[in-house]
Amino acid sequence: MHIILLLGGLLFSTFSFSQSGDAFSYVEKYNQQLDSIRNYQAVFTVKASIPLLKIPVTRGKVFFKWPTHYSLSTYQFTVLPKQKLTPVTRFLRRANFKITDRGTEPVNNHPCRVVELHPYDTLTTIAQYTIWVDKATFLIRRVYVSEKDGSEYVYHYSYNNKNDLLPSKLLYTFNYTLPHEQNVMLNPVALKNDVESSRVYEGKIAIDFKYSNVRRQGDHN
Amino acid sequence: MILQETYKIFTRPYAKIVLLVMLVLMLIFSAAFAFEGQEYYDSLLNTFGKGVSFEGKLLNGNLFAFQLFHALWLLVALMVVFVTGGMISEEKSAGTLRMVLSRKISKTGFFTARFAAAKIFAFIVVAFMAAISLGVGLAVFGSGELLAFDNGKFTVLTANQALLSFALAYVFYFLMLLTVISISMFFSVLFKSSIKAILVTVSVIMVFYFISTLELPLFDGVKPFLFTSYFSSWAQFFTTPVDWMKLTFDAIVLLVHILVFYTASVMIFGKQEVLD
Repeated sequence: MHIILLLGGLLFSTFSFSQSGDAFSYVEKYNQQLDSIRNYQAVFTVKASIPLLKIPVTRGKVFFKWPTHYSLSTYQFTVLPKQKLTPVTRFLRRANFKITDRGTEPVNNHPCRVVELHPYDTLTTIAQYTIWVDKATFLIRRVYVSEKDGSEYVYHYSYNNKNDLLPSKLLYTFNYTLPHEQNVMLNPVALKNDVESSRVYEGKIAIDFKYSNVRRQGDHN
Repeated sequence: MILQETYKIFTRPYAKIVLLVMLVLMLIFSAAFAFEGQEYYDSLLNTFGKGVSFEGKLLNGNLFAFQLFHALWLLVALMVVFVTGGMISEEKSAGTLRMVLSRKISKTGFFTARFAAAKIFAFIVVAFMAAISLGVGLAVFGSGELLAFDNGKFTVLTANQALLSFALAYVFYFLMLLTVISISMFFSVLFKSSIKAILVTVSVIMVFYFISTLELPLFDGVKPFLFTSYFSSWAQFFTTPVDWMKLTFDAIVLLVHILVFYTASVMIFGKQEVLD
C-alpha cells in the first residue's frame, strides 16, 4: 500500500515538474531568441495617462549591446515603467522560482501558455510574475508583476509581425495609492474618510518603438 | 510728475529694503534648491508609487523660478505694502501735504500721480522678481521641462510652454500687486499714520487670505467676495489646459477692486481737509 502511494506521489510530482518545465520553457525559448540579438537601437515615443500627472508626449532613444548593456536617453523629462525599457523576462532564471503552469489563455486572439512564478528569495520585493507566452511564436504577450506591498504592474506587448522579437508597442499599467499627506491636500475630507484615503489610482504608459541597426548573431555587415 | 513721484519712491529706504530682501531670499532659496532640491523632488515623485521611474533633468531654471515664485509671491506683496502704504499718510503726518498741494495740482491729480508711481514700482518689483528667479535660474541651472506642482496635482510643461506660462503669470501677479497697492493707498488716505495704514492693510490681506485658503465649507459662501480668493490664480497658468474663462473672470474681479478702491480713495481724499 505504502509502495503504491509512494509511486503515485512520485508519478504526480514528475508529472507536475514536466508540466511546469514545459510552461517555463516557452519563456526560456523567447529569452534564447532574444539573446541572439547582438545590438539594436530604437527611438521611442511615450504617451502617459496618469491620474494627478499631466505630461506631454515625450521621445527618447534606447541602445542595446549584447549581452546586457542597455542605455537610454530622453529628449525631455519623461515617465517610464519601473524596469525602464529592459525586457522584463530576460533575466528570469528557472532556478530562482517556484513555477506553476496555468494552462492556456488567449491574449488578443493569440493562444498563450500562462506560467506563474513565485520567487524563492524571501528578501525580494516581488511576490509573483505571471507570463503569457505565444504558443505559436514564443513571443511574450503579457507580463503581470505583483509586489509584496500590493503594487501591481502589467506589461502588454504588441509586435508588428510574428518574426519580430522586439515589441513595436508596450502598454504598461500600474497602480498606486497616494501618501496620506497628498490625499489630505487633494481632499481634506479624506481625513475623515478612510475609503477616499485608500483609493487606488491606475496609471497607463504607452510606448511605441521604431528600431534600427538590429543585428542578430550570424548577421554579416 | 509721475516720474518725480517714482523717483521719490526709490529715495525711500523701504523700497530699497524690499528689493534687497527679495535678493537675500533668492540667495537663500538658491542654496536650498541646489543642495537639497533633487532629494525633495524625488520624494514628491514618490507620489506615483514604485511602479514608475522618471527620466530626464528635473532640477532646472524653470523649476527654480516656479518654486521661488511660489515661495515669494505673498511675501513680496506684503512688502510692497510697506512702500505704498505710507505714500499719502506720510505726507499728512509730516505736514508736507499742504505744501505739495499748494502747487498747481488738484488732489485727484496728486493722488493719481502717486498711484501711477506706485504702479511703476510694482512693475519694477515684478520685473526684478522675474529677473532674479527666471533669469538667474536659467543662467545657473539651465533650461528644461517644468514640473509644476499645485494642490497635489503635477503638470509637466515643455520649456517653451513654461516660458509663456511665466510671462502670463507675471502679468497676472502684476494685476494682483496693483490690487494690493490700491487697498494700501486707500488706507493711506484714510489714516494719518503710515504705520496704522500699513498695519491695517497687511491685517486685512492676511485675514482675508487666511479665510480664502481655509478648506472648510463654512466659508464657501464668503470666499467669492474676498479679493484674496483671486490672488493665487496666477498658479493656474501652470496647468493644462488653462481655464481661460476662470482666469479672465478672476482678472476682471481684481480690476474692479482696483477701480473701486482707486475711486473711493480719490473721493475721500478730495473731501479731506488739509489743515496742517
